[in-house]
Amino acid sequence: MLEFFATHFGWLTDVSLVTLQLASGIASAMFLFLVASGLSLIFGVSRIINFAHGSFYMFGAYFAHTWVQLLGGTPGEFWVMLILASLSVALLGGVLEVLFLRRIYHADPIFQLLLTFAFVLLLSDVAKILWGAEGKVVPRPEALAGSVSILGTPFPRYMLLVVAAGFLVGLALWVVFYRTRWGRLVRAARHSRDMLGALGTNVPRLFTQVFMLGSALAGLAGAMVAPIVTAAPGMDASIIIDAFVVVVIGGLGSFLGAALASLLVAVLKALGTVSFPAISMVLAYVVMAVVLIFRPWGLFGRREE
Amino acid sequence: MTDLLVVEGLEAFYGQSQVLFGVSFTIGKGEVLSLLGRNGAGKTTTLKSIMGLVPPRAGRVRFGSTDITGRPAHRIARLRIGYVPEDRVIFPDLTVWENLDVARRPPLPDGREAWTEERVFELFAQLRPMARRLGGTLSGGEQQMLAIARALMGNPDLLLLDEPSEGLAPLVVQTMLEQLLRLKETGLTILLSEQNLTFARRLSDRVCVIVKGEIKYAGSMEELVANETLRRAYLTV
Repeated sequence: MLEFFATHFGWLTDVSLVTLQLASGIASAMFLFLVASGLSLIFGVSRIINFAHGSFYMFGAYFAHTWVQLLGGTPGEFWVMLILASLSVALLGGVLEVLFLRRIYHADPIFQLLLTFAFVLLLSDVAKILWGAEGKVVPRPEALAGSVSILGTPFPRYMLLVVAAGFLVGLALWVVFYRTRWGRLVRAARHSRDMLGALGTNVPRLFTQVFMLGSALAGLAGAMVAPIVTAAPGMDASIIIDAFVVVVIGGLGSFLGAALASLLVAVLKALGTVSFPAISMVLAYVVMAVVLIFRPWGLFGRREE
Repeated sequence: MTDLLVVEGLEAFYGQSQVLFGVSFTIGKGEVLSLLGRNGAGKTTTLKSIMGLVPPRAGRVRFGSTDITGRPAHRIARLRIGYVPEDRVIFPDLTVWENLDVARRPPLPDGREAWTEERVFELFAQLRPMARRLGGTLSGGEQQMLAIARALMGNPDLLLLDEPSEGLAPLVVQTMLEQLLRLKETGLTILLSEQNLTFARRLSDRVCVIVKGEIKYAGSMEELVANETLRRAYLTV
């Protein structure tokens, strides 16, 4: 017993290793938050569980690669690329919503799941056709190269940007949803799309806009993660599983839930990587199982009537 | 009097079962028409069909000079039809002010004074101190008034009111009646669905009685009330 703890948790006495794992956990929480909040936003309004959301994240990374090549060293290309990659994914999401999803909002959820799963398979092949099977590198911007010291532990400067961006996007989302009329319309649509329509709002158009915003968030996450991990096949599957764990814990449809659960899952994963390298997600899955047993609608979600 | 709303031979279904079997009536500009009938007679479905929430299978709905049959609900609402559903459907996570704001539509350039929060609160004074409260925390009567207030924010020419007195305490019904009478004075045209005869009588100029999806009587309230046979046959339980 003692030996087990010493093997798996002995590292917790190493302050610099703990700091590094915590910091990188917080940084990866930001990617997870961007993806999960988009997933959650789309579900909250349209009740569609979008498996293809991980594919949007992967496309964000590939678009980042393509835009960097196209921009070819223009000043501030990294920032322009982030915007263009997000917009490209928003457009991709918008096209899929208008052509396909819009037709099945009233269908059985199983058909919706099958359709978004079909998107996963299609988009994964399209990505291989367009960008090949090997990883595509996206360079880090010069200004964000190198590292800074946190409590004496060196930490990549780029990750600080990631953390800042996560906070900024979270704040921006709050402002949009609670301080603008568009946000009020979206919150109203979550309760009753029929009533909102009967008050004069073009609800199908609002759904498309929401889907595009959710897609853009996944695209932004993909574009920001690309300089760290390289854009490669398989990105879609790994992130969508983590994102679903996050929304199950946080509660589908809740932003605060997505934010806190992203932190929890990413930090647990970062700690799990050292304690149980072969099964790094095990702690997060245990939390998810406990939440599902005692609070199946999630920590911040609302119980379905 | 020019007809503002003309409903002709309206037929509607819920799934396989037919609810409306050729409903026809007209409402003149500035008139209040009550649609009376028992539960399940088709009052709600008639209103929903006009609003585009239950698309009619047959028949026509004309609003002013526009044929609105089968149009999507938001287009019908934008032509200035306000809808207050039977179950009110207040957005529970939005504040009272936010509930009003999502229904806001620019006024038509016809010189009438536009509805604003301020004007709405003058009419429904009890809502004013609740502007920042969440819709879900309001009582039934307050939610009913908010639902009417919200419909007014779209500056409607016609208001569809589905059983506003249902489930409310007599005192609340009395207050609401006075508020609706004041609305009527502004010249607003109202289609009211009701089971409460006393309430409908105070408000309406004409009544229609709907039985099993068909209009069985159209005329004055006085005649209906005076005619024991009519009342027995169509209204009393």
